[in-house]
Amino acid sequence: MRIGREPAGMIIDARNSAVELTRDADFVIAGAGVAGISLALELAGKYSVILLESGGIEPEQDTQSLYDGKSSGLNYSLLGSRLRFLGGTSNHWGGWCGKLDDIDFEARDWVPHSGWPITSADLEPFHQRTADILDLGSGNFDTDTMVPPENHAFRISGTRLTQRVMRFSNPVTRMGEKYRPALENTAGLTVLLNANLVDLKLHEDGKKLESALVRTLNGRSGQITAKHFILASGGIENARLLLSCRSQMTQGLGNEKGLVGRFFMEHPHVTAAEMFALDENWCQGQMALRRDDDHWFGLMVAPSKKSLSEQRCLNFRGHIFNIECQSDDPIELRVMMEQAPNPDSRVRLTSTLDALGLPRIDLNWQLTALDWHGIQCMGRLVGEALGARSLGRVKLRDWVMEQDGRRIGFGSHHMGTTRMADDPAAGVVDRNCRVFGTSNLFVAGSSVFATGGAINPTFTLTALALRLAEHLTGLVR
Amino acid sequence: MERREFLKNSIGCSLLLALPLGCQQTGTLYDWRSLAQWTTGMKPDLIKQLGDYAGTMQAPGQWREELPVLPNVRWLDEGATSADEPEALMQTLSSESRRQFASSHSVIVDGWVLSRLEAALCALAESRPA
Repeated sequence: MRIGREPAGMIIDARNSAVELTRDADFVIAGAGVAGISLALELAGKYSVILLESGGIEPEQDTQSLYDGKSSGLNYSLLGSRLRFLGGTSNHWGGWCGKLDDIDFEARDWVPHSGWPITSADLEPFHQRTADILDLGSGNFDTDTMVPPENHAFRISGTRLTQRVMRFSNPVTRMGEKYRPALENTAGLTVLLNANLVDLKLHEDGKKLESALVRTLNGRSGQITAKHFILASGGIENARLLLSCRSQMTQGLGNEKGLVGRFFMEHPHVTAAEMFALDENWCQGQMALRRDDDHWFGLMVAPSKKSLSEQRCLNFRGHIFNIECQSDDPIELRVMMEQAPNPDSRVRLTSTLDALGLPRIDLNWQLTALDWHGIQCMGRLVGEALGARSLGRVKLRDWVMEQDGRRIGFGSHHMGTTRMADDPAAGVVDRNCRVFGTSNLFVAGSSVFATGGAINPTFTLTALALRLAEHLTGLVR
Repeated sequence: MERREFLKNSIGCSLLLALPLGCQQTGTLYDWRSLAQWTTGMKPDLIKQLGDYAGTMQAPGQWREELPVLPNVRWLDEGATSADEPEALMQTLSSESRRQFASSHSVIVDGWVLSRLEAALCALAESRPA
């Protein structure tokens, strides 16, 4: 039985036996995290939208454990790096936001598989709206207009380093909490809590999706038909869902080229070097967080575009705000690195099933020689900048020289497993986030990143979700 | 490691530590270790550590060949002679080191990012008796 569309928005629990799970809508979105909620609220009001959330309003152990799996590569926490309830991983994010550099979108001959089919300019129109959603105050990340060069935190002009602005969500946006009233009151929008997408059914033409199979942990199920389907379940789960849809395509949906789940990228977080200041006053008062109206931002040190190409480095961001460099101790250089796209760094299905009958995953997160070169290159660029200014010296830590992967940290930034490309042989989704080989299946979130740059992904994935909303609006219009 | 100390104590003290080996027609002869200390600002034990390491990266003779042409400085087997006063020589070495950093003429020695001049002086300091 199919019921009509709710005239007003509502949030309902799919486990409740009174709730009909067989439904129909213009759009079905799987995942109520940052991307899913942003997308749903853009589309709702104009179209009927069903937003599926695996969890409830609060975290529950049995739902969270659906994320459990194996990590066969570098040390990784599949359970601790994401959250499975309304608002998704925004429920524990730190609110750090930055903009990818222009070069992050470009193909670089020293970075295999680099290059997006879109440019930084394609996301620019969505920056202010993204900043509004994420409570950043402004979508301006232009260092020079925000901070005069004489007030930069590093006296590095003329070196191979530059500075980038990092904005902070204030108050830190918990998407479920903040947007719950909107989710409850927007016409045409239905949020189904505790509703897990477990399969997608294709029309016999093999391209058009017709329905989504939904299941709850208390044994209920239903089939939702829609015009368009969007996966917004996170950088690991999006790949898992596509790979798990094997009832009609043995290799999974969108996986004709075997690329789904490959190219898993993180931002290796490393305290890779120590800085020893020659001049104890060189950073006095310059490293503090700064204010832009009622919002905070900080400056991070980054390589110039020229230095990246000359040294064939990977991008990075060094945290230099709130550093105490007046002490006698060396200054730890905490860095977030870009990871090079690597097809062998991947998410795969295992033979172990979760409580819903979906295969659990094996995450094999791997770095390449280029990634280790990138870390050393970072140390070298910072060391050269300090040396050129007689500010101090840099020493890379022993484990970096020994390439000890056990010391690599992660930022809970899951990227690349359904990467964007113009060529189906090079990616899983096209420039409009449509899954290759399908006509109405889309992906939202950082899994579409072709490269990850060296900045927290939330700002970019939200802008991409808004861009996708605009594209989908055009399709249904 | 006491890097902070090496940087704080280095420049002022190293001048006192310099041991001119004698006078020749071109000026005073300075040994490699003093030159390394002046240029890097590092303490002797760290110079030794880096010099030993740099010596494993390439032979002292190769480091010797990398030494730049500097005004008023003549490289010899024992070190360098200079027509400059010590302060001026230190400025010359420091300036060349900064120039090398700025032009990416650097090398990682045992994790330390050094100018190639610094690395060469450390390597040569440990390849010969002071």
